[in-house]
Amino acid sequence: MKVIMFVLFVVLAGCLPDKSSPTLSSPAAVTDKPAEVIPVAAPTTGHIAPKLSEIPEGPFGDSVRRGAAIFFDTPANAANFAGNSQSCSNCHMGGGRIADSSPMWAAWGMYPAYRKKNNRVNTMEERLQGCFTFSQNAPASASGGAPPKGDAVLVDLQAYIFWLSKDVPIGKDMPGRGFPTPTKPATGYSVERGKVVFDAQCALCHGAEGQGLRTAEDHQQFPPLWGPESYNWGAGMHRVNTSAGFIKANMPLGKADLSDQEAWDVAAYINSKPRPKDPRQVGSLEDNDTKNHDEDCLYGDSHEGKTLGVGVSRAL
Amino acid sequence: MLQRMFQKLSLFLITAGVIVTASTIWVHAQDDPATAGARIASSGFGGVPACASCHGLTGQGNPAAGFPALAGLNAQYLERQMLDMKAGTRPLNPAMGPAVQGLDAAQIQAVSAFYASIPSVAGPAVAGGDVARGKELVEQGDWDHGIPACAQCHGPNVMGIGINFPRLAGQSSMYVANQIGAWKRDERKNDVNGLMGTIAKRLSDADIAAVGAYMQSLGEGGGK
Repeated sequence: MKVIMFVLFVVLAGCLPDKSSPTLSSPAAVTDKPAEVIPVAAPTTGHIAPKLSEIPEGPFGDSVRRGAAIFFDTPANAANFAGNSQSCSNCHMGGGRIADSSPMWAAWGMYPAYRKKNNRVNTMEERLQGCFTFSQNAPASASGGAPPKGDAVLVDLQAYIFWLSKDVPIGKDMPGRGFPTPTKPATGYSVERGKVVFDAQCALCHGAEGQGLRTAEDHQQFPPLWGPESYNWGAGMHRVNTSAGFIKANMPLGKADLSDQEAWDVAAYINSKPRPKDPRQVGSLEDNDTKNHDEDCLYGDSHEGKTLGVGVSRAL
Repeated sequence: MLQRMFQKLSLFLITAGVIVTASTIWVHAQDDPATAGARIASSGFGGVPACASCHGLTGQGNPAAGFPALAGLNAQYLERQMLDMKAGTRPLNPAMGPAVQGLDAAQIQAVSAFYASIPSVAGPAVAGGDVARGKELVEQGDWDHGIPACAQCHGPNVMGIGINFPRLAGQSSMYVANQIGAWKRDERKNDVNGLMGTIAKRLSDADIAAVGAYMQSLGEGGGK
């Protein structure tokens, strides 16, 4: 009987309200060991662009600042011409200042330049229009197209790019220009393997369905990689080699440690997904494929029973 | 006779005990998770100290001691941090050890939901460190040294985004510095894909202090 009563006591004690539990008062501060000194990474090659804090005062500096604002958040600051949720800085990382991320300072001195894409010599202004038309899908924007020549958006962007390029020689192919193309694996690439890479390494920020990630205030923080809010079938990034180069050099952000094979595979996976149609398509998809897609891309291919390149639009 | 009375008394006590026990269990079983979470936060549970004794009842934390503010943080983020402490991928300090070991998954979820439901309160505060340099690192990073802007993942004004990128605005500068330091030394390993560990190793101790000082200076409203 005494045993039963003891058990009863224990049971009762265990059922006392939690308020009687001990609380921790005046906890000691937890101090860290001093961090060992780890040298920071060496500066990247090519060119160290000036910092935003060094933009001068006055009308020119104001234009540079507006250009930077457009560069970092195109849908907010060039709303009339943004046909998706992409900003310049989504592909040109660090606001266009990073080597191997198609830095702006390596481009400025290389224009005017002949471009196979439209078979003529392009000024920087025309090149920027191209970015709007394809990467930012301007045909779906409020204005229905890229900013016209002389538009303040293009002036401000050029002011920003010129300012980033201070002291870079004209006509010099700078190290770090464009995206480096990783060696294409002998066995090619695989969309299926790419999905595995994407789910493990990319979905965290870009979403399981490639939709990107928006903040609570609805700001597009991480860009969509496919779907109507992404770049269209005419953008350079739809090429698997270009995409693989960007990914290899820059992704995952701040880490960039994918193998060449993984970069190619995941680039193929991303570019096997639906996105807005190629604005250059006037006739059939097959004709456009022959005319404009003689490159390393999946446009016109049959994938999961569908022809790639048909195009998806924003819901109106 | 005496023995029979004792037996009757015992029977009464046992019956009463069973009723009390059952009713206590019943009352607890009726607790919705929010109430359960609030009770753990304010009073603890078993050997688990009250969360509020370090993190405050309003989740304001204790900046001077480096205890993080929890109010308004993402519930799933908070939950995962405690599960990671349990699993050993996020280091424990002496106070958090018994806390995470003494709570089950449902209790961890409940207390996470409780702190997530509290409006953030901490205002701007001054801490040691180069605030101007911190602002530069938070908003622009230092790409020439491979350091992305904190805001690139933690959102504008480091107000947080989704379940993996917590709000850091208004967070204790000591806490921020301790965590970045823990990543830098490979003591904290629960960052998805090792993203924070990689960046932390590129930050100098002065930059870490600067980032912490700027984040604390923002207040939990993100400087607005």
